Amino acid sequence: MKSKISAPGLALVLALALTFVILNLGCQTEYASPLPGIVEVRLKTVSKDIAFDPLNNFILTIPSVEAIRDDGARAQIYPDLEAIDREDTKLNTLDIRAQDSLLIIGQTYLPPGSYTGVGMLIDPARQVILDGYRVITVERQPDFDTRLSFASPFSIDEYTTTQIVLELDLDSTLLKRANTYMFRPTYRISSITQSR
Amino acid sequence: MNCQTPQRRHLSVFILAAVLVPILIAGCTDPKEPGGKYANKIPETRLSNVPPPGTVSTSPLLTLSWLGDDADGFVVAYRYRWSFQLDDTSAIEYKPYTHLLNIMAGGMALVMMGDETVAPAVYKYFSTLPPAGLDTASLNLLARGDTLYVEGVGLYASNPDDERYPVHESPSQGTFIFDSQDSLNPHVFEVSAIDNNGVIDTSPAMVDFTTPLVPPPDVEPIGGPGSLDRNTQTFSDTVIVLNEFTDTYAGIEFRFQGYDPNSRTIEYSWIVDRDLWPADEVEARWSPFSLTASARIKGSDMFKPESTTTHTIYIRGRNEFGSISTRGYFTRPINAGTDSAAFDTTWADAKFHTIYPKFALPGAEQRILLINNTFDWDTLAVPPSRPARADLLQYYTEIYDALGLAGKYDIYNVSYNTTLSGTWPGLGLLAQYSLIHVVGDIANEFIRVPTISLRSQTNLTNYCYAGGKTVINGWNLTRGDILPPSTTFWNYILHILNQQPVPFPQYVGATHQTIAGTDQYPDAPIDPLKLDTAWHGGMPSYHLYQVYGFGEIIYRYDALDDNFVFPGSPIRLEGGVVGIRYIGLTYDVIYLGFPLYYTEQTAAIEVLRRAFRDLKHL
Repeated sequence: MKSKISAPGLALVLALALTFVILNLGCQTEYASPLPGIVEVRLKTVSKDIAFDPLNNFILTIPSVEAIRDDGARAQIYPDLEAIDREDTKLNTLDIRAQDSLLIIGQTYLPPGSYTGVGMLIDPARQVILDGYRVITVERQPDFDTRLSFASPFSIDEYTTTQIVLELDLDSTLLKRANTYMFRPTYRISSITQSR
Repeated sequence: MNCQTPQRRHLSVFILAAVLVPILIAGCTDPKEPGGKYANKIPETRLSNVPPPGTVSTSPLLTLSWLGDDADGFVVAYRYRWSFQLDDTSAIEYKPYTHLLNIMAGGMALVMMGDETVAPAVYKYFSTLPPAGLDTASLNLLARGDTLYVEGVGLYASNPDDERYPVHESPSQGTFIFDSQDSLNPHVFEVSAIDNNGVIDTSPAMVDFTTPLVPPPDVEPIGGPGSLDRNTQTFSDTVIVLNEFTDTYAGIEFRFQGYDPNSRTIEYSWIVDRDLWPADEVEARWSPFSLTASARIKGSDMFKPESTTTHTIYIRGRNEFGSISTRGYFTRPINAGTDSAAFDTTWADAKFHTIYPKFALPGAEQRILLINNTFDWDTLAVPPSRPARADLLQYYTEIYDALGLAGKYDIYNVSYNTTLSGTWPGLGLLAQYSLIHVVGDIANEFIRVPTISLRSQTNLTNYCYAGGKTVINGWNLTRGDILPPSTTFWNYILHILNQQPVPFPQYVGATHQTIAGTDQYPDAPIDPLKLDTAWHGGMPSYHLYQVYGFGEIIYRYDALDDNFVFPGSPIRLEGGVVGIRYIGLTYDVIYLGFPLYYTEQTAAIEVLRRAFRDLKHL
């Protein structure tokens, strides 16, 4: 038996099919959201005058570390990858791990892109302890600024960890005077490496 | 019946339009005789606090106020100048015009570096700013006293942040200092308003007056080393001088004072040994004028400080009118209104005495001063536990000979009275030596040696701060009545923060603390043959110390009973700190809180050998 489909019905079916195809085509945008990379900031201390010894310490409190993107946007770098906020980080610059760039200041996920450097706030301790018993007052210069800016471009790529090592030259930073140290920060980014 | 065809109707509309449009256009043309414009009216200016003509003011400092009006607009700026005459015979000259914008920014009056042609445009810029006003960066720039460029014209604030006495604090007032180098100085001040069309008032408001010559300020030194004897105009203390400042040598401080009823400010300038320098160097050696009424002077400011011990400082003052004192003295009334009213002469110079330390001279020979600050048992001596001074000196002579220092040291015996108030060498003597060795080993029956007074501590501190080296050893030396507390001496010379007295007869020696490097201090056991039998094998009256700053532990207490603790306390005597060294940037001190006399002599020799090696004297 031959079925009969009316012409208007056929036209309606064709119109619906055509509309469906057009709408589907419209949804197929070629868009892929990139996955973040990881940035890890480490501290390296250079010190010849004061030994890396458990009895020596000079604490640097770091309230904030930021990565600065080339468009000026700033991303907070947290203490570790699980952290959701940043509190003051206290680092002993004379920790033996700081001698070999093993002391981690912060880690965080960042969107891929070009970055111009790292900015941080620091609060140096008011005293250095030597040999466990010698307490030396640390003075600050009248124009002391808590902001440190490490300008050195780096990039963040997908699935990639970018490791930035901040080097603090303690011999120049702690200027020895007759009975005190004068804090005069001398620092740089000593290396930027990437690994998957 | 309408017989018009559509073609005819279109034709009539066209004709009607052709007639009406030219009529209407003709009605829009300019009138044959326009009404014309009113001419711009010139602004007017008036001074609002005009002194009577020919007024002689009491000061060259005058405040004048003015106001401008414009009948058909507004005043955008003012222009002013004044006349002056260098002397009676000179021509009358005018200062250049100053243009002051009639609008303020951030509370600052703005002086414009352009004339009336640009004033309206600059005014418009400031008057049409958004409600927030000038941007912060520009305001900061003006507040610093820098130049801001608007419409290509430079502007600066007359009253920036650091200007204590600005000429203008508003556009309609100025406080001026008029040139007054002659006894009477005539001036004419004129000011004109500039309107919004850039037109200047051609009839400026004017005032004439005369300003007097203002005498310079009188100045005098009021502070320096010690007290100032007004009869000899000499400071009492002798002080160490070095050619340059160091971390611990801050120079010699002088303070000045000036008097000038006419001036809001006095600036000071000083020179040392004015009359000794070659004449062509003198002017360059005056310090720059400064509002600071004090100076810190070092050797390079003096004439031959290594060989000259008496110097003179001269001070001069300058008031805000530029008058500089040159007389070097002034008189002032004293005891006014009483029977003994008189005049006193005050000098703007003063003498002071200095010593240049011998050790700071290039190629100077090293020499040690041994200060014998011990009690003298004299006729009551019972050697070896209670030796006479001669016995002690013999002991140290043997040590110095063993160290190869024979002939390289001198001895100063501290004299004292019945209360054991010692008389120490002065700074003049200390400065002759490169190392001072203080010995306080022998005490009386109350374990008491002569007092090291605060003044002696200050002298020793100043000696060290100038770069001297010191070794101090003794028995019970830091007891309060022997060494009166002085934070500077305790913290920065001895490097002691706190101490704990140890009255118990437990001391049997000092064991060395391992220090960095291979060159260690030797142990220092006591010599049992020198002990008084009453001490039962250990010496009483010691102190244990808490180290201050860069001080470094070099010796620890060795107790007769290793487990002896302070009564009622878990603190053990054994291992307490008794020896500290400080090797600094400018001076070095080694403090041994035990007597070398009661130490085995062979050990004492090695202790001093190591100490002198630290102090670069062996």
